[in-house]
Amino acid sequence: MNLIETYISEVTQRLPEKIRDDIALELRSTIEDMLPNHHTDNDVEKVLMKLGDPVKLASEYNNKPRYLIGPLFYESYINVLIVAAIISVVISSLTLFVNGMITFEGDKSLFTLMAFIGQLCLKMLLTSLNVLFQVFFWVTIVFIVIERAGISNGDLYNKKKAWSPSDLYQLKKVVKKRQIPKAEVFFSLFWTVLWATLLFNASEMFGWYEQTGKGLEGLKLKAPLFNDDVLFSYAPFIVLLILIEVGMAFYKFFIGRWTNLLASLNLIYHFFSVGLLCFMLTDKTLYNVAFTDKFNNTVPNVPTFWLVSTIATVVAVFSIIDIISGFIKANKSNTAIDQWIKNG
Amino acid sequence: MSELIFSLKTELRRGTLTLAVLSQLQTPQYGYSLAQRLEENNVSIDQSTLYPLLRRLEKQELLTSEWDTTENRPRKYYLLSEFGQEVFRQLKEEWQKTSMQLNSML
Repeated sequence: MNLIETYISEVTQRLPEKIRDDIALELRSTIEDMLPNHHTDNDVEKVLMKLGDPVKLASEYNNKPRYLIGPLFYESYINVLIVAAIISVVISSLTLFVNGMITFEGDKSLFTLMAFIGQLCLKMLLTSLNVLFQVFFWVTIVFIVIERAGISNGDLYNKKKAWSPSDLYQLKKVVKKRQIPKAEVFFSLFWTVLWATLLFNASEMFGWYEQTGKGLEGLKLKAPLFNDDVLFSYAPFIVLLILIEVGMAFYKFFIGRWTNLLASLNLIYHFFSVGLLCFMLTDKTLYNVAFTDKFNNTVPNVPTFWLVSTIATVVAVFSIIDIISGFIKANKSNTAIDQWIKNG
Repeated sequence: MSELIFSLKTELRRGTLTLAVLSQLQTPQYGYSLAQRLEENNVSIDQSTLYPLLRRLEKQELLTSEWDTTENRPRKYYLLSEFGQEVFRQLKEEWQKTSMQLNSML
């Protein structure tokens, strides 16, 4: 008898309070039904063996999901997790980087800057790790709640339009050559932040350095390359350029492939940036007189016109290559579906 | 291999257990009597599955239950509800259709 009670309590202690007594009563009567009239301990053991592991029995009674996130939500969970992780890491890193650059104090020679950037990268790595944990934690919590709240995925699907094969025609299978790797997007974002930061701090970083003492500390900026006032008068155009670059990066991230629109944007961006570059390069007032004097004294045989036109030509050639490759990628249509659409 | 077969068999049988249980509850039955009836009909069902299943079906309002305390031992009797009757009818139809289709194929 004692064995039966122990078994029953093993089951019921794992159940919610309000159904405990009822299940205990039913279990007891069932076990007694199963036993012969005059039973031995051996008979009891046989019967309990038939009912099996009390833990398993209790979990059958409980009928609660034994998973955190079920198959209905698993796919959306993983997708949300990936997107949220990528976006939050990129944003937090960029913010840290830009913030670090703006608040950077001390003498901004190229070398102390390098050490500073190293420190900053470490900080960005640690922050990214922290952000990743946060994202993982909160996204998981939200999905556990959704799973438990009993929102049926059917509701979610009903809101969307039912799928039909005609969706395929709009999708246009993404050709591998048209695809834009995510790494490229992040690199371009990083590049934007880098050049913008360098340019806005140019008057303290680029220029004529002279060795006035020993080691790196002895290296002093004698004459900056640019005139600060003139450089900052270009600021609105530069900011516009930054916005276009960032916009294109976001477009690339979310669309993920080259389209004619993106190629056109790319064309406009290159025209604008090369134009601005040429304009700035040929603007005599932009350069610091002290710098050009020192430069001409050191290397008198190099005409500045030649230097400027070389830089402009190189940049222009690379731009043209990029513009053309953008259009080529956008119009790659190797798939049967694309051909089919073209032929009507 | 045998594990795979076992899990596939369990999966195949899962839905039919509900149908078997519903079919035997046209008249009130308590847990053990139901288990015996199923056994007589050669339906193998784990007792540890059967009793929780009865609770679930009751919660889904397919069954009604009542405690009978008049005998020497209290027993919980289960019976098909009106809704349960309807569900049983439709499941039975579905089963007959499916088994006919499958039989013609196998």
